[in-house]
Amino acid sequence: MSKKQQKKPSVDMRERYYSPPVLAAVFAVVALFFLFAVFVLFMSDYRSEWREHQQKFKQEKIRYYRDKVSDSRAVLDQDVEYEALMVSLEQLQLQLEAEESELFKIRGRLKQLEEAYVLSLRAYQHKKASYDEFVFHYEKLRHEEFEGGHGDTKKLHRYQLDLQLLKDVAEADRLAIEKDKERIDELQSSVHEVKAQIDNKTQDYERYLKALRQVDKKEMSLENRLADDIRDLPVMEIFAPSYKIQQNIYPHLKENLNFSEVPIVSRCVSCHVGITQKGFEDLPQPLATHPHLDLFVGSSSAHPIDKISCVSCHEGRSRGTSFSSAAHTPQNEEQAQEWKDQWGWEEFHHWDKPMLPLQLTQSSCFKCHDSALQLKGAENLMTGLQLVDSSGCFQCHTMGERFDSICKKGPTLLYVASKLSSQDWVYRWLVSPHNLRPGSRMPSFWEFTDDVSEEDQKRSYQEIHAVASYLWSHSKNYDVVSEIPENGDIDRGEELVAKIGCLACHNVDPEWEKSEELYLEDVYRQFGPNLVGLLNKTSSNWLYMWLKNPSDYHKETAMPSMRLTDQEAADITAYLFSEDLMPVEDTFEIPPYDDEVVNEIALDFMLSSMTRQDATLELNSMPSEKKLNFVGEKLIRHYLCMNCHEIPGMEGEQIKVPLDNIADRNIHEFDFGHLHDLPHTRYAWLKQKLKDPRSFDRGKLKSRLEKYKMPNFHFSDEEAEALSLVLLGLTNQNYRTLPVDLGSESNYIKKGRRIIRENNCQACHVVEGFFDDESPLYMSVMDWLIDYEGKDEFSVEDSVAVYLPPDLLGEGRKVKSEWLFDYFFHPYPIRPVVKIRMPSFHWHHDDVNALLAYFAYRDSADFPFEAYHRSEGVASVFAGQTLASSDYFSCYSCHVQGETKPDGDPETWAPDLAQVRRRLRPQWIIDWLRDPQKVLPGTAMPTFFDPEAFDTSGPEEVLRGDEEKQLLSLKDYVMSLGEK
Amino acid sequence: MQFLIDSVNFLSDPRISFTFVACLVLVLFPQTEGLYALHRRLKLNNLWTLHGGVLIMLALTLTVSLFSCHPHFRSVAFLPDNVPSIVLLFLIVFFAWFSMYQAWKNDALLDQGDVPQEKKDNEKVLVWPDLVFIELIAMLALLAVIIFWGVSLPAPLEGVANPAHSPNPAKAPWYFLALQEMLVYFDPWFAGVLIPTFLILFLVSVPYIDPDRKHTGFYCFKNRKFFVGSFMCFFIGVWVYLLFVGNILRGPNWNFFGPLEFWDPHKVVAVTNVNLSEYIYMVWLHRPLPDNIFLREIGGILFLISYYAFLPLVLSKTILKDLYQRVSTFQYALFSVIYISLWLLPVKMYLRWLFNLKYIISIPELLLNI
Repeated sequence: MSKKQQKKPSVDMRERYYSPPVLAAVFAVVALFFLFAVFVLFMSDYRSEWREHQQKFKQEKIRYYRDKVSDSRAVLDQDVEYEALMVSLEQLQLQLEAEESELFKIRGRLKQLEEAYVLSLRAYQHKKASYDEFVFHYEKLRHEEFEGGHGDTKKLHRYQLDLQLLKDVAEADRLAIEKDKERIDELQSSVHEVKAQIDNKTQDYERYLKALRQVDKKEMSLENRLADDIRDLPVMEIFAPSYKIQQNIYPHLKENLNFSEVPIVSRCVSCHVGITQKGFEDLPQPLATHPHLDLFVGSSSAHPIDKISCVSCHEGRSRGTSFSSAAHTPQNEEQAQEWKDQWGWEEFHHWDKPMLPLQLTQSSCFKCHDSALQLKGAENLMTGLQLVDSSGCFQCHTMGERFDSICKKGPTLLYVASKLSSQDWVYRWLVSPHNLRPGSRMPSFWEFTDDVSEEDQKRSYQEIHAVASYLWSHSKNYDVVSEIPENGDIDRGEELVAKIGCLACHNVDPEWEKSEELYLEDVYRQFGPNLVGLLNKTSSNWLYMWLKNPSDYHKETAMPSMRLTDQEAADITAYLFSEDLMPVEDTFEIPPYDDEVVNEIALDFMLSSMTRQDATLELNSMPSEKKLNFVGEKLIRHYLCMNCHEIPGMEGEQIKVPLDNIADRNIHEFDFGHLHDLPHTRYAWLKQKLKDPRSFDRGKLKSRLEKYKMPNFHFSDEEAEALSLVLLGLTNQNYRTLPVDLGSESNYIKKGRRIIRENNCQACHVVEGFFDDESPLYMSVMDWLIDYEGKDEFSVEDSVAVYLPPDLLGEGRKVKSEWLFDYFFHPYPIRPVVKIRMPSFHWHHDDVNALLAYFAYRDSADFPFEAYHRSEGVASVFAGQTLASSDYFSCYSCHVQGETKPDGDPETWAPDLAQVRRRLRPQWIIDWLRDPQKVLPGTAMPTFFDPEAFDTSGPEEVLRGDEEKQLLSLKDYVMSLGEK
Repeated sequence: MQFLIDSVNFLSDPRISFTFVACLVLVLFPQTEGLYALHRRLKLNNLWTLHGGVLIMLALTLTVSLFSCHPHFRSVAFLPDNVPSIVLLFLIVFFAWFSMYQAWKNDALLDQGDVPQEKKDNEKVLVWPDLVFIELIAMLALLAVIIFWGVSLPAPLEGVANPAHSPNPAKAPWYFLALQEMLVYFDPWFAGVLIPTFLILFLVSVPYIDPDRKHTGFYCFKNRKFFVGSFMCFFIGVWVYLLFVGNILRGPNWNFFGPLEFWDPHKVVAVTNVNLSEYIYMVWLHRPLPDNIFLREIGGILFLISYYAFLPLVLSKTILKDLYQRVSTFQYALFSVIYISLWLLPVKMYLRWLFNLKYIISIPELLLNI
């Protein structure tokens, strides 16, 4: 120390760059600046969107639980029973106080006993330990005894005696305690009982109070309140914060990061705090409960949040913890502006799959439910899928398993010359299918709008010449009858079309226009062509033959036979050939053949494989007809006509453009052409492509063959939107590691669903879905009833259901597979009142078997064989007969039984009970009789056993009033009918 | 207005802007007596005063602010990635001015027969507490600035790496962009390895080649015009210029865009580059390329040989005359080879811009493309 003091400074104190006080001041300022920087650093880290949302949600939660607590308190306060319980509790406690002296005594003794018990137990345990030790030595000695040793048996006995003694003492003490406790309980038992009842009453209140205490500072203890204040302070929040990033990890769902697959981590709940909690539906986003908690997110829903991540449906960047970095996508421009103002939203560029705007979320259903026929909440997607089916998108595109190898959509073109009136008609048709037949599914391959240059149009006209010429000259012969055997009647024909169910798949409307809104029924109805303009399209003879037997002309056609008689077929032919069904007259004049243009087209094709010189030589040597056919063939292949139609010389050819994972494709792979105003999203691109497929070519210098060739289907906005939903669901993302559980028979179900789609069964029947679903035929049957059956417009609605084809919900449990197999090949009317005919489909028995399996597996019914029917005995059959008689249920006032017909209008007869034995499954009969409205809501079958008061509903005198036995007996009776 | 914008974009074309920057650097930091005289005649020495400094910084600020009024410039220059290059612009200009300011002060002192500023205080440094204290203060201030920067402009992260889709333009970190820009003119091993090596060798060799003891250890210019001038020429005229071009003026597909031009990813520029051998044989002599590699590349080989054989000789009689007389032949040879190798870069740049010249010598068979 002293040395240091002596040491002189080596630098002259006067020699300084800067004065120390100034330096110190500068240092102070900089240090403060640095401190401020550190403060800013921590605060910028601390300030996060999710924390604010969680804070807000906590306030809402406190408010919610406070309301709940006060509500449940109010309920308790008004509950007379609760009040009475409280009063009696008070009285009991008063009584107990009266016996206080005894209780006091017992309690005192109990305390002593408990102390004694502890001591005696300890004595016993000590003794036991030394006994165990002794036993070890004893056994060792005993073992050695064989070799000369021996154990001290006396000492062993002494030990055992002592041990027993101590154990007895402890046991006695314990029993004494129990006895005293019992006595106390006895005294208090009535109090306990009342308390239990009170607890039962107050459990809601207590539950809410407990929840409130966890969040509400006012309800917390002092130390909890302190902890609650401190734990969320900046920096302190590293230990145990209440506000923190919440995340779910999904090891079974993978996210593809190009180089590896990682589990999906979802942090959405950090801001969407209330998403799984009931009761916060009315809060603003992001705090609100999921709007469909029963279907999504909820733990008991089909899509619980711990199994299915938010991005599985919504897409987006689930690791993002701010509004923008989660890649939210607004629904429209207004919402985008609103978000910018409210949340500072900006588009997140660096994520391939931004969140789907709300209206497109349905597309995600398709990722897993890829074979579905009906899905609750995904109505637009389902309409889109049906549109794909009816438009035949999959003919030219691969679109995943659902649409693989479905048969060709378009009519066969093998015999056009035998079917169509003239080559000119083919020309006019190709120029504009929609003018000749409003609503046609045939797209326009050649466009003649103002967007198309005159030169292009000129070329198009010659291209059409070539295609028409090829089709006409290559047509094969099909023998058409020379005369229709009966004279048709237009009015009868019109009635037939309305009555037998043609309108399920066809429109008959020369002025048909797209409805403003898109209805699934309309799409089903566009499955077949709009039956107008046939007069100058084809010959009545051909139509007659076609109606009689469609598969004779076109083996693969989806058009079934309606089992028309000659007269009926002639009537319908006459109707469809009436002048009224002609759309506006086509005044288009066919431009003449232009050799120069045709040469040009031919050259375009030829130059790909030969020199210009050779090609010109060859062209000059060709007669014009040959040239046209050559160009026609090339063009048909170019436009892929053979994908949808059978074309002579191109049978079996099909070229498809893959769309399997179009939703995964990077946005940069989509060619937006010169459409700069279009938002750069997959959705906008798809919709534009669907609405105007060649618009991306506009303004580009391309040769004709390089241009996009997707034809224009004239989709409306709504249709394009529904279709883009389907396309946005075409992804390879591994959400499919969680397949929808279709049961182990999923392949049968998929195959059945495919047959149902291929044959448009859903146009008449509700096949899958929900009981309150209306048959798509509802409106057309109602029209028929009003127009032809003289029903009143106002009362008709109540009775339409009776005239509709049956729902097929539960069909697998209802009918016997054997009967159904027969029925598909030989349909017959079951309910006379239903005029819609079940068509005779031209099916292979494999398809029918697949359908049987589908129905059975879907409804978990026995398949392929079902259990034999076992009757309860003759007595049961007789009892059933009694019940069926006019004394009781009077079944035959409506039902047919073999040859015995009921009174009244045959239209109102119910199905033949003699057929039941062959047709229905016994268990279903019981279910049906028990509550017909539950099985088939709206049925005319009366309910004999009131489900509300089942036990008293049956007649007392039959089978001693046992309703279950009555049901069995009715079943036995019905099953015995027609028995040989 | 549009005319102004178009002219700015036109003038920033590298052919024009590089020539302009090169000329400016040559005049501002004159390497030869002739340029030095011109410098004085234009009264540019007034820039190396305090007033001149303020003027320079104001002019720079004004230019950058004017440019910033245009949305396209803003969208590029103020990307978090590009902020350093804008800051660099200010720092480079400031320190260039500062060094010249100090140098001219010392030059004046030397002219008066005095000793330079740095020699006056006998090179004594007061370490404790002066130096340590101000270092501490500087450290804290720097840390604070970096924290503020980090908080206000978070690190720019991009999307998930996707081998099927690379970012466009794909840019290296800002400090590598001059190297990346050189790739436009040279093969990677040349632009990425040889030229930087020569550059470093040049810098390293300066003290060994020049035995001038009288004018080292302090800021000066007049007596070391050539060395200071050519350093400024390569550092500011080439390196910093290329950095700026790579950061601000290169857009999608590595196309060149004016500072006020929209980065159109579809912009198409016709660039068909031709080798010297193709010019010689196919354009001038109208005959196919010979099969023999050396015969084919004879033009380029002769060019390079004469470049390295004659240019040092020419230089020794002209701008390097002074140096040639002062140093040994070996020192001169070493220096001149490195020096003219560096000149290959601007030479090649001009050849590319003016004649679409791809390679002077192109022997892909030997991976030798110059």
